Amino acid sequence: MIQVEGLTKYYGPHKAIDSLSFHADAGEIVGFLGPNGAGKTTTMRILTGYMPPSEGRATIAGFDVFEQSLEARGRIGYLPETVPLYKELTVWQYVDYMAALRGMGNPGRAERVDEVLDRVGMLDRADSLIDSLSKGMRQRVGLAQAIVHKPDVLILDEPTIGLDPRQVREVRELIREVGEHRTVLLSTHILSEVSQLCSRILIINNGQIVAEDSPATLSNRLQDTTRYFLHIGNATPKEVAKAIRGVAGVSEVYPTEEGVEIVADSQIDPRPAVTATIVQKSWDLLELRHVDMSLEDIFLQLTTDEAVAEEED
Amino acid sequence: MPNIGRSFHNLWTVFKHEFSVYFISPIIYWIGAGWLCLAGVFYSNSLGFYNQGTYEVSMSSLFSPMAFLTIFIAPALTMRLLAEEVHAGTHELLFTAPVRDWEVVVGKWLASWAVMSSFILVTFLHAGLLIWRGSPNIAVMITGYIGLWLVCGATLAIGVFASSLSQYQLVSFMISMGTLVLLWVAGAVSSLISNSLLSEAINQLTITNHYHNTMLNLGLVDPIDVAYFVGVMALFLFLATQILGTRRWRA
Amino acid sequence: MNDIRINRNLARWILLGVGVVSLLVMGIAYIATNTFDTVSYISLGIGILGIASFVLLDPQALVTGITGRTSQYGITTVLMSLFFTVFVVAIFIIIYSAKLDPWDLTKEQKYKLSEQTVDILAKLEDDVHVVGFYTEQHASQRKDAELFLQQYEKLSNGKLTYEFVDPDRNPGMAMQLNMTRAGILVFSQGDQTAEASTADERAMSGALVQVMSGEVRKLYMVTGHGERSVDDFNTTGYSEIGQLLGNVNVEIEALNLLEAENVPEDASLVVVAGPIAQFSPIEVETLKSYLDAGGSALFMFDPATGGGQLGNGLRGIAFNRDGSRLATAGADGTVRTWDVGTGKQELELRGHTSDVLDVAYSPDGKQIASVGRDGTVRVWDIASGEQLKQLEGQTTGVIRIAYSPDGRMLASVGENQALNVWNAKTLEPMDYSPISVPSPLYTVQFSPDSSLVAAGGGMTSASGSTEGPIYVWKVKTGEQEVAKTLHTSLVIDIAFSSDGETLHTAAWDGTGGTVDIASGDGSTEMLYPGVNITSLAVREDGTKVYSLADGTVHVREADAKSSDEDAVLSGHTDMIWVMALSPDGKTIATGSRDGTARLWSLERLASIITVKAQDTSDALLGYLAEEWGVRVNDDVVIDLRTQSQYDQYTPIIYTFDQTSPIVSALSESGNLLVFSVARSIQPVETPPQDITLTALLFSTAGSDKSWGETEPSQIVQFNPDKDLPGPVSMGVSAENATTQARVVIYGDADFPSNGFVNQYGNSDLMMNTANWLTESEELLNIPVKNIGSHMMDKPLPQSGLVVVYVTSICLLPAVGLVAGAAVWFVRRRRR
Repeated sequence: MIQVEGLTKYYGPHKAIDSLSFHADAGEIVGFLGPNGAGKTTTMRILTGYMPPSEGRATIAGFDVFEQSLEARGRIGYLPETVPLYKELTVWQYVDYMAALRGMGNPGRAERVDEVLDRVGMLDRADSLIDSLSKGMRQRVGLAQAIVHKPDVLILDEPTIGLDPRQVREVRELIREVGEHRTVLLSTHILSEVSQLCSRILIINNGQIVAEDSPATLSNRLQDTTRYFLHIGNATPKEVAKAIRGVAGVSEVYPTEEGVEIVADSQIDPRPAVTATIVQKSWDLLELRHVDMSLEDIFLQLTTDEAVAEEED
Repeated sequence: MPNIGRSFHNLWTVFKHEFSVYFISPIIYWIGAGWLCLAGVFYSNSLGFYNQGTYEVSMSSLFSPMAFLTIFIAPALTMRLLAEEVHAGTHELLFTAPVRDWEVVVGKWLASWAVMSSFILVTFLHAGLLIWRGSPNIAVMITGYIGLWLVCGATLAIGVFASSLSQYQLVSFMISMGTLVLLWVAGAVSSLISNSLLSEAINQLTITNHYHNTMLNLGLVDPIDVAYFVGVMALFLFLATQILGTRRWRA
Repeated sequence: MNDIRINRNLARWILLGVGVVSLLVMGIAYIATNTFDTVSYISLGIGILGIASFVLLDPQALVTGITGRTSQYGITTVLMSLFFTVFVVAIFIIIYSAKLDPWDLTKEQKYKLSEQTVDILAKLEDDVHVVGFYTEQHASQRKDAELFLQQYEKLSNGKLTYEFVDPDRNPGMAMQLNMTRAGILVFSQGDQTAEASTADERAMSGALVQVMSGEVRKLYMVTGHGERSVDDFNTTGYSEIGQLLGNVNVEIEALNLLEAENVPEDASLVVVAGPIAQFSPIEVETLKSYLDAGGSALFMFDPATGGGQLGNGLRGIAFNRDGSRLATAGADGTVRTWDVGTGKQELELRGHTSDVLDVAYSPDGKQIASVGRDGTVRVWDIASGEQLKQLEGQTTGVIRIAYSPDGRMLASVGENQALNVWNAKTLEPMDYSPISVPSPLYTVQFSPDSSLVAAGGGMTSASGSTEGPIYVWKVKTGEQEVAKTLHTSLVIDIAFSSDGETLHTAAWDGTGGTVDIASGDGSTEMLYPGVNITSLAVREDGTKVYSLADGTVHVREADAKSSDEDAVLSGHTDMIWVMALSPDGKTIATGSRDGTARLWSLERLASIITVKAQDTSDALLGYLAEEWGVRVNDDVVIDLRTQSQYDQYTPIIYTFDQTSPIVSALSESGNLLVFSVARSIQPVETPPQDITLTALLFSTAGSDKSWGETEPSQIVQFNPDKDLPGPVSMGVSAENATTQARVVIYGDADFPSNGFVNQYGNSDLMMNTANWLTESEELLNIPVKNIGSHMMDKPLPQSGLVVVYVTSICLLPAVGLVAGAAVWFVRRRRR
């Protein structure tokens, strides 16, 4: 659905994105992850036809975003980071206007607007002025306008930013629902979001893609150590840590508030030895589980590595 | 051809939206009320003379100040049109929609023209009174209206262009008002210039020379005047479209 | 590092901006003023420097700027914009050059040319060039002219070309073409020129035809009544306007209506410019025939001329030998004789072109001699009523005339400071005549034995002292016998005693005197302090009769000690100019400024007869009133508004009729006229059949500011019963639809005179009038475009007006505001 090849963009002398290449297939929810200024918004703006690339090309549903801009745009639903809305309109008027702008003719449009508002849970506030809505509601309205015209591709720039946890959950749920039948490109710098929603992650930094894979695989690829988490009921983490340090297969132990993190040795599985120790001490074993490298870690690793690599250059 | 159909759809969409937005804001009612009040003043003043039989009955004494007022009203009506989109950020949605730049420009311009036309429409009441109680020259009245309508269209096009230049409404206002003042009074300067070609060119640039001499007072529609107004509209709307286009790759 | 970069960037853009602006300024200045001087070089230099520094400060940026993709778009945009602009401008220029005819929606189709014009233009063979002289003020007329000339040019296939010259901006060009006025179209073909003073089809086609035919318009100026002349270079003369008319191929000749039987065939226009004497009925008939045949005439009448209450009435009066007849000298230019018994007029002698100042019967009763303000001394034959001769001599300024009792001599005196004596039989001057004296003379008398002639007069010297000398000469030889100054005031009248040895005198200051002729001694006595004596008569018994300026006659016994004992005869309503004693000494005849002559019985000390001795019904004015419906009123226009600049008798005219082509140009350009001492000219309420009247120009509105004064006096006041309230019309144009005759009448003859013609729009008025009056016959078939009147047929009552005011100024806008408030309110609730 989305095909990007060698996309480059200069702002004056400054290169914002450098030879980006990636793709997103139909039905995929792809996450665009990166720090502020990495080039996410720029990429999205190019994809949505807001501005042309300096070099390279991109296609949406087979239409070149620059050469066949109007066809491409017609197939995209876009929610920019700022969620720009016409404050003086009512919710219904706004979504209706956006629908019309995106090419929906008069027949059936009104029903569709109702439908979409219902979908995002704003139907009861259809006649409220946008000015009077909370941020979460505005986000929902923004999402509504992005999907009202049943686009093949959804491009969402930081859709959950600034929302409270409940709202975040709602929006994510919506995105999941909506994304079932569409291709979604979702950018964020919130790691948890990406891991929950996306089937694939693109990590972008300084205008370049530094990693691309599913969350699990990514985590695995980057992780060169295995970690476990141990939670003991009747002993403090400190005590536990002290006890299992040096046990076979345990290379490092980190006591934390909740429990103990065990960095395993690459060759030996520490679990048998640890279990034995627990039994020996007659501790209550509440939890012993495998811990994946968090995305944060991956992210930091990747981005720091990159930074280091860059400096060395 | 589907393209034309789509253009119409887009134009209509933008127009309808913009037109209704005008009437949501109370500002328009103030401007309209102000315009009508001034119109009332000029009209009543002349009416006194008509009643006494000192002057012939005509709407021209109203049209002339109305046309002059467009120097202020057109910028006021248009300053928001494009500047606000950028300022509020909605341009990101507008320019990523499958709508051509010119459709946006023309649609908005048409909305402002429709608003101004509705102001003008109210003056039909004023005209109606004159027709009922007197025998004004209908032809002059008609051409006066046509001309005023064209002046509005042209001044609004200049306003739309000014609005495309900046995200700050005040800047747009100043630019368009400045341009309009220039075009209004350029003719006065022409008498100082000895080069007849240049002075004639300046004369032809002046708005008043294309309205007051023929349509306003004489009941004539001179193709050159129509060409002037249409030309101004076309040129400035084109330029506005170009400026919008530059936003994309300047952003 | 970044800061420097930003500053450098900013600097180069600023320098570029300065450079470009500088070049633009240079370019515009060059086009505008056509000069390339030091300033231009400096601008050019700055321009080049600016652009160069832009490039040099950061060449790299320029290169990437030019070759980068962004700039590609940028260049594309600029080019597209440029091309589109050029495209639009090009289309505009094409349409402009096409000079397409505008679409005229009006019913009147003001700009549609008639068939006649189209015809004329199609047949045009030789080139005609039209120059329109219009200033900024005439913008709308210029537009009109342009709309017509555009069509003229096209229909003539380019044979007719035109251009506009603004005399304000291009004075050189205007001078070259000898044009000093604006608002005119000048048509020229070869060396023929013609003018159109209004930008409408009739005037323009008229000028076209005129210039094509090379027709010279012939203008005849009537003479014989003291009218102005184009050969007169004085302030009151018309030499300058004669020049202006000459510039447009108008030939001017004089025309005496008494001598000529008809107005000449080739007359395009007859002008009567400020006549003083009345027109005789014959002359009026001649004019009438001319006008009935479709002629054109311009009349200009000054106030207090041609008879009328404002004139000077009767200046001279005389009895014949037997006292049966009375002769009067009128300010209307006539000498009339009356039967004393019945009071009926017998003769009316016309010939003087101006006021007649004195009259005398020859003792043999066969002739009458008169002197007039026209400076002539005329002798008339009573039997035939014809003028016998105009006497030669130094007669300019003559005031008084007298016959010697033996009928052999005739003498006259006047302001010419000379005594003229003629042989009354041969009517030739005596050898010694004229005799010069050092001061003006106001009275002349022969002694009872006809051997002496006496005269009295006087003048005020530069130092302010007045002397009143009297002179006596021997008639036969002209030898001076007496030269004595008794009075310190002008000697106004003298009378010999019946024995011829004493001379009685009366002076203006109210003194009377006597002079012994033999010795030359004399004395004076103050008789009427503070009152002016105007004439004196002495009866055989020594009773003296004085006429005074207050209109009374005082009869004073010879032995009276004071004037209290005088018998006073009153009745005249204005100053008594002159008095005559009947031969039998029993009757006194007085001639007054009030226009009447009265006979008084000295025995009964009462009035006998009062005769209205001047014809206030002037034949010409009567004709104009009856057949043309225009009243030339007997008044003088007072305009208080102009008092500050001139005086109240000099109306400045700025109110004009809106439609007449004669004044429409003046009205539109806001020009003014200056009339000097004018009378009102009024169109009657219901014009005669076929006549259209238009009042052209007016004094200030409001009877508190201006009016037509019928009784001018020291006290300037509007009298609602008699005076005409302002705005007072001072010019009327009239047209006869069937005969196509045209007449224009103005109440002032000074405005086109040399002293006033160059002021404001005075010359324009004259030229426009002439143009309108002499419009070519051919084109009278061009229908007059009836620019329908668009007035308020059903004016609103005061209440209706108020309703409209309130609605349009308050209610309608209020509706808008309310709507706005409602919208705002509703929106609030939506929250």
